[in-house]
Amino acid sequence: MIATSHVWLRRSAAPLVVGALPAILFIMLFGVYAGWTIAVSFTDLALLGRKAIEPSFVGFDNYVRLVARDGFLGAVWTTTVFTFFSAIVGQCGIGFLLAVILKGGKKRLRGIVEFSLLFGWLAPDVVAAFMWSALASPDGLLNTVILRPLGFERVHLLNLYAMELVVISNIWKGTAWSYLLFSAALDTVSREVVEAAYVDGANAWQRLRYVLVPLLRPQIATNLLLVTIWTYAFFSLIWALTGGGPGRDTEVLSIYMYKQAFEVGKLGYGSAIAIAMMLIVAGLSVLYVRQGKDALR
Amino acid sequence: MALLQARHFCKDFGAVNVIPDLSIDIQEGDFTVLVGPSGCGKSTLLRMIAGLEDITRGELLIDGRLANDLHPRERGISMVFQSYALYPHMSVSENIGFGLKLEGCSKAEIKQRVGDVADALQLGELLHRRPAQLSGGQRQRVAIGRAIVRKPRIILFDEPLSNLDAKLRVEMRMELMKFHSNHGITTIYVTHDQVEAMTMASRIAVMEKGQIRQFDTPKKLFDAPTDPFVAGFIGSPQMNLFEVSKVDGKTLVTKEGATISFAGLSSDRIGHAATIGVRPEHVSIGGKEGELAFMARVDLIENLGDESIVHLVSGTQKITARAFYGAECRVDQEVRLGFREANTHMFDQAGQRLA
Ligand SMILES: Nc1ncnc2c1ncn2[C@@H]1O[C@H](COP(=O)(O)OP(=O)(O)OP(=O)(O)O)[C@@H](O)[C@H]1O
Ligand SMILES: [Mg+2]
Repeated sequence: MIATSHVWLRRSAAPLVVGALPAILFIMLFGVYAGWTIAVSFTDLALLGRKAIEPSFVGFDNYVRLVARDGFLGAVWTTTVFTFFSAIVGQCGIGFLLAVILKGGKKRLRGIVEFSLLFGWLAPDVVAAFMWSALASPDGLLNTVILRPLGFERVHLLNLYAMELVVISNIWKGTAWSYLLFSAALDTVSREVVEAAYVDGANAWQRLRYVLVPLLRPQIATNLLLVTIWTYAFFSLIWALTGGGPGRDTEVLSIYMYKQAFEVGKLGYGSAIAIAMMLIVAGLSVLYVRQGKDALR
Repeated sequence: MALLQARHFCKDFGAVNVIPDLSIDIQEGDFTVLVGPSGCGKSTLLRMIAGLEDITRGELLIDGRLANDLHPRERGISMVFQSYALYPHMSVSENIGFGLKLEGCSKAEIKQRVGDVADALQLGELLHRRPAQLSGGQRQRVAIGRAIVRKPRIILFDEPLSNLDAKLRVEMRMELMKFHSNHGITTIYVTHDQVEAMTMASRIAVMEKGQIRQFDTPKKLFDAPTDPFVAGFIGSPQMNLFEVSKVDGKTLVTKEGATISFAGLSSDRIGHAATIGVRPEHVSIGGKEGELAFMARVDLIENLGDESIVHLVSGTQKITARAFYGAECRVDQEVRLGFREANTHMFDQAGQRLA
């Protein structure tokens, strides 16, 4: 019943099917849920009111609205900026540089940096958000300990630099992952190859540019893919820190979707946003996977 | 003046001292081989000369100029690594031309010089391949090409043939020798392999525990080792070394309990020796008058076709004899062994060779 050349698999088909039952159920659940979301995205289903009970089919109306109105495109831009600076430049870039610098560094320094990075990684999003807003609030640490004593006016950082703050806190939160991944990847690079580059006369920057980065291209591509996917749909830290504000300054797609679906109550439109997000991420994934494959050739 | 001088080199890794005090002069055009047991500091010395490892104390002079703080390139040194360390993501020509590219040479010049090197090493056909698509010997040649393209004064090799199979190793050994005699680049070469050392070297430095025991031509090293360590290290099978525990009239007893008589000999030199060495080919089964002689039991006979290696024991003293004909003995037989005084190597208590 199982078509496979593995004799041991075929002979024990019955227990395998039983064992796989939960997985099969879950796959069905995913399928049903995805199908439901797609279906809903073509209706005007609402959270409350008459449309909650009798939604009607509206064709591509929701999708047209994505492009026709500002909200969605604005959120796409905000998300892209947030992802680019916090995930790609911040987590990946800083993680990579830290991994390279600390590779040959002192054990003590390395331990301290790793501890601080992991601390950010392990702190729950909501706790992290609370810490950062405490740090940045008008009565917070930055104002009372640094800015005020230096004679500056009290600054409401969360109002003035919301995006910067959200980006920095996400870098703080997520760099550990990239750092650990690149650290492990660097261990696979032969020490002699790097030394050969040194003897050939490559300085630190040239060794990075011509040897390390090309050698680690598959890992870099994979990590960019993962980090982009996570960050594109990232919700909790931003929600807890700014709620998407001030105004709509930090309203990324996930927050926009949440607000449309559950605050405004348009479940159909919210579903369309979810589907669009998925398509964007899928598009980016294809791009990254291509990059990684090129490196292997 | 020597091209390269290491003066009182000392190397510590943290609290561990690996090289206590080492000096060596390398002459221009020489092929110098460093040999020694594993962990004796050969690679460390080579890496200090290359500039990959700091020199804890001591001076490195190249052309009489202090080079301790110079970059390998400024030292005029290049290196061939044990794993070849080719850049896996670059083609053969990019690998060879990488150093030139970093120097800022023009594309045309790089092409020209890479082409010249590739011709010299018969790599012309392979220039567009990646290292993964090359055989071991070809990779080796690319590594050499990369090392010579910038015309270094000194080229360093760290066990470059140890990853090759036996047949290829012999071929590459001959290629390297030809290469050296054609180009005459000063070479320092680390190896485990005695045959490599003996055949390739103009001079061999035998190292032990971070010190150079003897630095001499292969012939001198073989014929007149200056201390027991070198005597035991050079030559295969190993030289028999007898440590004398006491001398009683015309017999001596070794620490391992063999009793050797030198009754027929007039010399009193033997009486002063703390260690007596004799190569297996000089130990004869049967023995003659006027030789040092002793009895031993045959333990094992290795027949190699044209020669036999006979392993014997006397007390707990192991002896190896080498016969260039079928050995005329059987396992467990008690035989008389003899060797001539002229063939012995004698060392005093301090490990100095007795003249
Ligand atoms: N980076 C290091 N840190 C600490 N100790 C080291 C380091 N590199 C080498 N050593 C030690 O220095 C000694 C000499 O090492 P080295 O690699 O020079 O030996 P070698 O003669 O090349 O041996 P082999 O023939 O096995 O290659 C060894 O005892 C080794 O453990
Ligand atoms: Mg070594």
